[in-house]
Amino acid sequence: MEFPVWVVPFLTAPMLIPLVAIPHVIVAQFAVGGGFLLADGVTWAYRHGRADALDYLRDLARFFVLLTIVFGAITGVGIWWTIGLTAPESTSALIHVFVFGWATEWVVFVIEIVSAFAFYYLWGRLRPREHIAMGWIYAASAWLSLVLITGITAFMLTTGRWTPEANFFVAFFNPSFLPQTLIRTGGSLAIAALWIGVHLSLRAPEALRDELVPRISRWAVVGMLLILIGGIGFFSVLPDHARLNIIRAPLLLIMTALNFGATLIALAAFGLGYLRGGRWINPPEALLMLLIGAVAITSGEFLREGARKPYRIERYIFSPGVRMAEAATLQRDGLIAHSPWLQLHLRENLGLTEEALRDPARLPEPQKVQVGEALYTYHCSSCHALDGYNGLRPLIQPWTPEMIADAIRHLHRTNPAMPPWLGNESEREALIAYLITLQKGGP
Amino acid sequence: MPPVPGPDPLGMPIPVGYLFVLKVFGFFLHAVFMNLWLAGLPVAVILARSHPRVSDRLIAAMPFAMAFGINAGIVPLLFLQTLYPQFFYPATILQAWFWFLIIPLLLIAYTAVYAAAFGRWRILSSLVAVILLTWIGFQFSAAMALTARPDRWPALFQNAAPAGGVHGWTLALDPEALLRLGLMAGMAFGTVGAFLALLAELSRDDSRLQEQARPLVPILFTIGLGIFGLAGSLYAPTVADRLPQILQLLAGASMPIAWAAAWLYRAQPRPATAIVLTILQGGVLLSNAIARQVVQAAELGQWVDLGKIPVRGEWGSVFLFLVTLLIGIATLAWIFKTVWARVREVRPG
Repeated sequence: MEFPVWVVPFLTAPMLIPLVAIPHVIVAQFAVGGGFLLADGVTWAYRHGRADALDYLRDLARFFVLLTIVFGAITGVGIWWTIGLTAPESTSALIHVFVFGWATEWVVFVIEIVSAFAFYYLWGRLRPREHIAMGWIYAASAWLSLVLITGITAFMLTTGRWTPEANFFVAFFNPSFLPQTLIRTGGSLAIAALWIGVHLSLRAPEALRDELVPRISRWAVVGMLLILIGGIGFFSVLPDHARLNIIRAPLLLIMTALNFGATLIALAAFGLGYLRGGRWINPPEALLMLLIGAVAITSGEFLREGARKPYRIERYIFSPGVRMAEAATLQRDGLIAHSPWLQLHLRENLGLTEEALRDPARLPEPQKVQVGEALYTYHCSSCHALDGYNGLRPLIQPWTPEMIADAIRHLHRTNPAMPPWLGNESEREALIAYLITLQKGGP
Repeated sequence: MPPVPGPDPLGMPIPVGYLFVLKVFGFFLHAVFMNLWLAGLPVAVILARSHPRVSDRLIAAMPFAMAFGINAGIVPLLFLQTLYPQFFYPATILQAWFWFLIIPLLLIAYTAVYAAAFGRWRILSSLVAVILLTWIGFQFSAAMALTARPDRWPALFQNAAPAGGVHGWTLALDPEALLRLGLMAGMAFGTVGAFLALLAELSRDDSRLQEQARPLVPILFTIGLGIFGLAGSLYAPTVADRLPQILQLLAGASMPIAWAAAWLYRAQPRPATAIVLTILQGGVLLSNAIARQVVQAAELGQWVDLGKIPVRGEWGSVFLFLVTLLIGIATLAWIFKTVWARVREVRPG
């Protein structure tokens, strides 16, 4: 609550994260899985003296390098950019725990870029053994990058034994690290096979397609197996609140069903590809399969993010950006007392005095409502737009004022995805006053 | 009193001195590549007709400069957010949409750079990239200038605070940001000059490149020195009280020294003089990166005493980083050695 809050109408600011993150994951996982598939393809082509396959793989490598280096790299930075704007407390916490994990990932990323450039730009100049080595160096570094980032993202969902006093490794090897690494490794092999399927259907001669599709399908089936093992592990280590969120929230249930459905369809397609070869693959089918793979990734990411509520970092930071350890202080002193930007707004823009800030419930109704509106901005707007995503206005329309008051008093008891009220009693009254005006079609 | 948040309660991972060194090193590395696109792209566009070989080589180098520049840019931002999160986040949130828009703009610029390198609408694509990348550069300078000036935050916030939140459409149009961009642009012309000198001398069998590049090097340095001198003479007095004299001297004099070396190179165009020029230009970037860091630390020192922030002592993760770095350097050395050998082997006559 010490930072200013960026208000994005209709969408909420944190919803900008999936807009950047989901396309990134779909491409970044291709960057990882595609590395293995390309290295394997090149190894096979050299060993069998297949000039036609090498010609095709060169064309694929060009598409691969362009997409992953340009789009993958920039959107990757973009996620970091966006979380800093929308969740500064959590971003700062992650950086302070994992700064040298990120620095390590940076080293790996440099190797990834250099080897990818050497692999593509020196095609035909490198000796076969060097070219093969370059491909495998790329694949290994891209996978290590995935492992390092997974440790950080998994930590947000399951902090495990970590406490603020604990070190990097306790945070990194958190309970969902291994399951999520398996899922992401498997997912990257599968999505890479689907991307390459599209490219094969568009650019490869039929005979070569027939040879390469079973080869990439084999990798993808291994990937699906990793997803299955990782998925079982993931659900077994999920914290209780996350399990409850998945069962209770209709959107998360839909995402779970989509995830399972899309994964099963992809598995069937890979099995078919492995058994029947690739002559039958045409561009519309391949694109449809890629779309299904994208649905599986999107729903999986949504599930992971949605299950995390009411925390941004499990048992450390609540979704409004308040550290759990500070909750009791805020409930005693008030949210306003610990939010310098909110104070600035109330004092300078609304002209309220120190005394009024300490007890906003005693203010005349119009001012009380204004304070309540500002409290909504700081406490609620990161998850609830007024009218759009998770819209508060439509949500409370059928409620009576008593129901609104009751819900705010027992926020975390009525819904496991909600944090407790993180202000004092007087501020709660001001927020309730504001919410009631929303029912009347007010401000 | 501006609403500066407290330092992160998790404390510093390791003593701040090490973090400063890593931040400066990262900024230096980022500046090397970023300079190449900041001045290299406009130079390539302007010289497309008169010096086509130089223009071609610069445009061909841009995808690599972009890839490594963006990658290296992660390092200073990472350590800036470790050292000063309470300043960096409010400064960027106040200009949230502009800061967020850097990502799509960079994506377009990067695509345009690749389009130019692959010969698609070379001049138009390069021009689009020039405009977008210059704007991004300005946006960066504005964010960094505002990071160091919390006293300016309240006024910006009060004009942009619907119900206490920030709408994010405020742009901190600060003359300081323009001057900082000017300093960087001045250095960038020098970096492109040094890059061309090195390229010309390494491409010994490319006589067209040598003919076109050699006379350009001192001209680029002269333009760079002009911009650097103008921006520096306006900017330096505003930070003179926060910068030790020795650093003022080093940062200010480094560019004229490199400029003199550029003329020496023009008189004696050889690999040795090109290497000396490149090292001196590296000195320009490094001395200015250090000076920039010292000024920022002094500005923010008014608001936070980093020495009082507890240190966690995350040495285990530092060890992981260093081991990975060593393995990484060994791997990169092998890759570069291999690449160098093959490139020389098949170079066309």
